[in-house]
This record gives sequence, C-alpha cells and structure tokens, in this order.
Amino acid sequence: MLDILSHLGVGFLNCFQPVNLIFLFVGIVVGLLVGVLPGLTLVMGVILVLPFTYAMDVTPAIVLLTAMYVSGTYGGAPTSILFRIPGEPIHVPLLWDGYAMAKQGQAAKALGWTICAALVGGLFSAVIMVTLSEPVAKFALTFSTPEYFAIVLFGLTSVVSLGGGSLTNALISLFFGLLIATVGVDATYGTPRFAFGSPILMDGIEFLTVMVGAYGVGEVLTRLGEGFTTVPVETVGAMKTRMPSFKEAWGIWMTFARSSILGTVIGIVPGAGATIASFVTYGVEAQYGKRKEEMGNGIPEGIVAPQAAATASVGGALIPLLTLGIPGSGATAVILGAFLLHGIQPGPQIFITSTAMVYTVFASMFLGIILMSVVGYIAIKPLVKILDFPESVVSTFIMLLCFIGAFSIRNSISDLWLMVAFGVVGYVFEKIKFPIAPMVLGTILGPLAESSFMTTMISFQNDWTIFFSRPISGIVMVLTVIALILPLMKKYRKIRHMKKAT
Amino acid sequence: MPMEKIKRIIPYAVVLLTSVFFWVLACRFACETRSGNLGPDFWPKLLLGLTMVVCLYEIAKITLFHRDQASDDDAGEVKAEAPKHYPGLLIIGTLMTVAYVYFVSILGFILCTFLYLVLFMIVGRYRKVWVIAVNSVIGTVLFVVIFMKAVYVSLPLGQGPFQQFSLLILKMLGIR
Repeated sequence: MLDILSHLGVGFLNCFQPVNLIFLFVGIVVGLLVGVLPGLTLVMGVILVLPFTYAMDVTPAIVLLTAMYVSGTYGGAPTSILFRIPGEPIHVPLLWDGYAMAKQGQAAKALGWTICAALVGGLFSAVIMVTLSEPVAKFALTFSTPEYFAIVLFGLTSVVSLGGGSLTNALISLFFGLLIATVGVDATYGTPRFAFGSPILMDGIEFLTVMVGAYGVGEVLTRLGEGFTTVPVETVGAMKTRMPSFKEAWGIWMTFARSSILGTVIGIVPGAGATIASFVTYGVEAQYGKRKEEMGNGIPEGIVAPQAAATASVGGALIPLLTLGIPGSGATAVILGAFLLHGIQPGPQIFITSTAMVYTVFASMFLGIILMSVVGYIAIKPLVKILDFPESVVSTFIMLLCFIGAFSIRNSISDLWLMVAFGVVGYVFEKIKFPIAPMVLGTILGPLAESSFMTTMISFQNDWTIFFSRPISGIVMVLTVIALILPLMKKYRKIRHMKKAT
Repeated sequence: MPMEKIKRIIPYAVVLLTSVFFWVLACRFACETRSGNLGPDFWPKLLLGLTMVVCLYEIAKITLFHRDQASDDDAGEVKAEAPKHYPGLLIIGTLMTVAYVYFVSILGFILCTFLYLVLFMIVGRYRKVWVIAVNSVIGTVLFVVIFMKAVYVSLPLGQGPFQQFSLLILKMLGIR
C-alpha cells in the first residue's frame, strides 16, 4: 500500500508539470463541450481528439483522453436539467428528477447536486481504481491463454447481453466485428485471409478506422438524414449553480455510497459503461431508496444516483483496460488505441514497465474530477451557450476530423475508403437496429480472442474442456454463460408478464 | 408471405448469404497445417457458422412466430415520435463524402477540404453564406497548420497544378 501511495505521490508531481496540466485542462473543457453537444457522443469526441495526440508523448496523450472521458460524463447534465436536452444517453435519467427540480424553480440547486454527485462518484472510483489496479495486475500476471480467452469472451458476451435490444442482432454485430479482425495475414500461420490481394487489407483493418467510420461518419450520416434538426435553446438568463450544504449532502449519504459503488462495479464489467450505470442506479434508487415514492418529482436522490454512478463508472472501466489490456467500452477502446499508437501495450506488465506513466494517469483522474467540478461550476453559462452552434457546421467539422483521424493512422487513402464503408455500415446498422458497440469491441478484441484461443488449442492438443477445467477460466466461462442466459430469461419473463396482462 | 415479414427477413437473409460467400472463401485459404491442428480457416469459419446459425434462427422465428404489430424485442416499449427523414440530403451527403475520398489525392487536402466544408454545410441546410465561407477558410487553414505543422501528418498535396497550389498555400502558411 505504501508503494502505491508513493507512486501516486510521484504521479501527482508529474501531473503538475505544465504540459500535463495544460492537456488535463484541455481534456476537461473539450469533454464538457462534447457532453453538451447532442450530435456528438462521448465516444465520438474521444475518437476525434485522437489524431491530435499522435505527436504527443504518451502521458499527456492519455491524460487528455482520460480527462475527456471523465468530464464527458458530466457535460450533458446542465442541458438535461435546464432545457431537457440530454447531450448523452447517460443523462436521460437526469431528465426525470433534474428537470423536474428545475421546473420547480430550483435549477441552481439541481446543478449543484449534479456537480456534487460527479465529484463524490468520481473521487470514490478513482480511489478504488488506484487501490485495486496493482493487485489485479499482479494477479493477472499468473494468467495463461485459457484465462485470457475466457476473460475476452466474457467481455464480448457482456457487451452483447447488456446492450439491450435484440440479442440476435447484437450477436450478428459481434461476429461481424470479430470477422473484421480476421482480415489480413493470420498471426499463427502467416496465411492471408479475406485480403483480396489488396496490400492494405493484408495489413489488416485498423480498429480505429472501424470506430471512426461506424461511430463518427455513421452518426453524422444518420443526423444528416434527419435534417440536422437542432433544437432551439431558450435564453440563457440568470444561470448559476448552488451547491448543497454539507448537512443536505450528508442527509442522502446512502444514495451517494450506493451509487458510487454500483457505478464503479458496473464500470469494471466490460460493455456496461456510464449509460448503463446511470440507468441501473436510478432504477435501484427508485426501488430501494428511502424516498422511492417521490422519485421523478424532482428530489436530489434522483439526480445524485445517476450522475454519481456515471462518473464513477470511469474509474471502474479503466481497471480492466490498464490491468488486462481489455477495453470494456468505446471510450476505453480509444484510450487503448492511443496506448498502442505510442507503442505501449496495456496489461499487467505496464505496472512494471511504465509505472510513472500509469500513476500520472491515476493522479490526473483525481485532479481532473476536481477541475471538472470547478469548471462546471464556473462556466455553466458559456457551456450551455454551445448549444447555439448550428449542427450542420459542427457535423461538417466532425467529418473532417474523421477523415484526418482515419487517414493519419497509416497515411493511406485506402483507410479513408474503409472508413466510408464502415460509416455506411454504421448508418445501416442504426437503421436496422443492429447495435454498433459489439461490432467495434469485436474488432478490437478479435485478435486477442483468436490468438489466445488458437494458442490454447495448440498447447493443449485441441482439448476445449481446458477452458472449463482450469479454476479461473472455468469461473469466467460460467459467468459468460450466465451473461448470455440472463437477457433470455428477462425476455421470457417480460413476454409472460405481457401475456398475463392481456 | 406478408410484406412486413419479408422486410424483416431481408437483413438476416443478406447476412446469411454473405456469410456463405465468406465461408466458401475461407475454404480456399492456402495453408498446410500439421494433422490434428486447427488451421487459419478455423476461427473465421467458426464465426461464420455462428452467424449463419443466428440468422437462420431469426429467419425461422420471423417466419413461424412473427406477430403483426411488433417484434418481441420491441414488446412493451413505447414508440417515440419518429424524426423527419431527408433521404435526398443523405444521398447527396454520402456521395459528397465518397467524392472527397476520391478527389483528395488529386486536388490535395487543402482545396478538397475547403470545397467539402462549403458544400457539406450547404447540404446540411445551413444558409448563412458568410459564416460558411469564413468557417471553411479558417477551418481548412487551422487543420492544415495543426496537422501538418504540429502533428506532422503528411496530408495529400494533390497532383499537377493542384500540387503547386497546395505548395503555394503551405509556403504562405510558413509550413514549407
């Protein structure tokens, strides 16, 4: 523990270096802006900033992206509360109590509760992240390929099962993503697969190209198809934030604690990001909270629960990324991409090889959360004013960033063609209700899934029972099966319930 | 078979047929493996096989148990008000994006980007000409300076006279 604290101390000192501090601030501000703009999702924002990090050192690059990720979970809260415009799906639960509280003339108080919740949830998850990461990484050093395959499989299935919507569509999306990852020269035998003689396809398809296309181009095309209908914003008059008193906050300490813990845990589970954390904790509060009957009528618990959980999920999501090299969400996948672009492979070894960098990122989380709260408190007016930007102008620049992002990965026009193709795929997926996240995570985790599976098969003479007979991989495989069965049971219960009702 | 059923089956049928096509391709991977070892075609075939199974299941479900009003997945969900659709804008925007990718290596990043910014904003139903012009010029210059001078991305310069034009602009910006 003392080791961790001393590393963290060094991390804080590194954080105060001007370059890191500047990028931390930039990340916080850009994250807040991304959270406000309805056409720009958090994942898209992080993807679009990625090309700017190419010429940067790895530490400020990761600090920048992580800061964006943290503040993006708060950015859309003010517009949800004040104008009923959630910048992100994360903030939809804030409409129920936050907007209701604002309508009662307590908008300043509602905004204060949101900042307070983000601060508490974020700091709590940062503490958990620092405390757990190194022990988890040490434990992960004992893992072999069957364990890695089991963990990746669990990550992929939880993305499928937690995504909501149709399970079969999510599975098809996932298999498609995994298949994209097979394009190029096979790592085990050196055989070209689905390359059609194209040199760029021989090198494989970069997951960042898929992400930029499916999330960036696909989303802009979807919104263009809807005519870029920006909602006009009411006048920004006397807009300020009033923080709750300590006594008021202490009065609902249970909500803070419950939501922060749940948010962090949900963040750790691959595929369940800030949005799921936000909805689940609101649901838990509505079911088990002290004032469950009043939920939806503008009470602080309804604001604190989703916001604390959303921000807390960030610290949780960084744990599997840093300790196992497995991203559980779109934003962490981009952060993984930034690591890889700088020649660093996240995983248990990173705590040995890049200790200073890891702890600087940890320290930046603490500073970032505090800075986000301060900026959110002070800059509420200009932040909300961003909504006045015409969507077509913003979207045009998003497209431009997509072009540069995809091109600069390998300096190849072919990647631009691939990006456009995946943009169309993203648009079509959106239209036919196929989720994009499983495809993207399949593309990212595909190589790791295949290599760990093939190596296991070669090492253990094609004995597939090895995945179940080793204790850790066995437990994870059982969790995987549960993750697949749960949504089916939920659906079955829903149908039965509906049949009974009719 | 009712039209609604066919509409719902089409995406799965397309995915199924595509999977069959790729399965055939996977059968042709040229590689010699030791007997008993899994070859490079195993993993893709496993994925394609699973995709086919899922598609067949969904097609069977729609054909045999399809309900008229809503699918099981949508059951109980309140339908939100559907947004307006502008297919014309979408087609033009997509074609413009394809054209950008095609022309960027001929016209160069600077000229192509400027034109794209102007046209995409117009297609996006924005009509303030001065704002479009200023945004496009400043945007192009800013991106060129940031990415070519600070981030060192080698953006396309174009061919022939367009390359000369790009080099002139870069010289004016103090990049070359």
